[in-house]
Amino acid sequence: MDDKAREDRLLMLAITGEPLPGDDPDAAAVAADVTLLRERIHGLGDALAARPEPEPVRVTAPARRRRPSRIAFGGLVAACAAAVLGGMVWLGVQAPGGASDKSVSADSAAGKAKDGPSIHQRALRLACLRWSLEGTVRSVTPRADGDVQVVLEVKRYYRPERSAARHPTVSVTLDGTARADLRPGTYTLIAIPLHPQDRQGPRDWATGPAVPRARENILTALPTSRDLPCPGPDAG
Amino acid sequence: MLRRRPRGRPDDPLDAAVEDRVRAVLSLGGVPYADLPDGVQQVRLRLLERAAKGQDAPRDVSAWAAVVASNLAMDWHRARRRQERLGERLAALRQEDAGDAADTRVLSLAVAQGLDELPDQQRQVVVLRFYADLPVRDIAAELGVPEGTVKSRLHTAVRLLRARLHEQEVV
Repeated sequence: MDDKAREDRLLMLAITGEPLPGDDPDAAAVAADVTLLRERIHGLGDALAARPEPEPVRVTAPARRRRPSRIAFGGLVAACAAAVLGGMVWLGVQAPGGASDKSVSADSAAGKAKDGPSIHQRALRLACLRWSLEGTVRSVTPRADGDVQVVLEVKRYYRPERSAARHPTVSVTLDGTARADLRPGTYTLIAIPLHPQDRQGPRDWATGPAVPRARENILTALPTSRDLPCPGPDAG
Repeated sequence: MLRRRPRGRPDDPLDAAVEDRVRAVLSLGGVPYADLPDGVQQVRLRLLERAAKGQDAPRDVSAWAAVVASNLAMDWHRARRRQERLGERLAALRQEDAGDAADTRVLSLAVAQGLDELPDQQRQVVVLRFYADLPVRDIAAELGVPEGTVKSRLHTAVRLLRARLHEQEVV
């Protein structure tokens, strides 16, 4: 069965609500898309039907609003956030710009082991990623909403697990601050959460020495993550 | 946050939850906001007509009402040869009224615009499957078409909508 036929079959299973094969690397991404679609259609229907006549407000493309940092709530909460939430934080990766490794310091503050989240926590986080991949930045284009569109030549996909040879180029939308870290030629590892509200801005990508550390943590957690469903927003 | 309308009368054949569902299905079908009360009233009348004819009440009133509402939306399009663009309506809502975080709203707009692009028959089955949560078999039975036809319409529509989602994330 070729890739398209296989993906069509997965899509039909997800549409009809039948179980998807656990051994198919694309199954999680297909299921996530259909779940997201269902959520958005529900939200859309409720919003359009329940509102009074809308005020004639012009809306341009909305800027992505970052939720207040959960790390600001202090040691224990920060430790939980570092373990379960966030982009590269859970990977134990130094934030871009040379900041200290927040996951380690947060864990220390909470009296946890200095080696960061457990494999299970990392696997859970991995299960809640829509995309994780590494490769070389080819272009960075600002968008009207303040974000940037980054085109990458992919060396390896982690989530979904698919062939870089078959899908050599992707374009991802990242926080506008990516312009400070990502330029054409920069090698990066990117993690985009399944649920947009779980995005963590600059922690959604790693560069430099942080890349091999992130890769190692992903590869450690990847086998466990294959059997884990994402519990939902904020839980991954 | 969404504001709830007053609850229906005790003798109303459509309870408030079903009425909300009917309004949503009509909206997703492209019926303008101003026409939603008329649409709800037509669903209510159909239910009363059933009773007046001595027919049994629908086994699942909510599912039945969703299908009737989706058919009304189709008829509304045919009669007026136009439909309301969901993407424009959503964009006109203030963000707090839309009930979405900004990130989620980007995706909602993508889905709304995707629904706008779908042929009526595809949009109808998408709404019944993903908003009304009806099984494929029930949709086919209610619309009087083979299950394979429903699946085919859903598959084509979801592929387009999925592509829309990915335009916001990865293409």
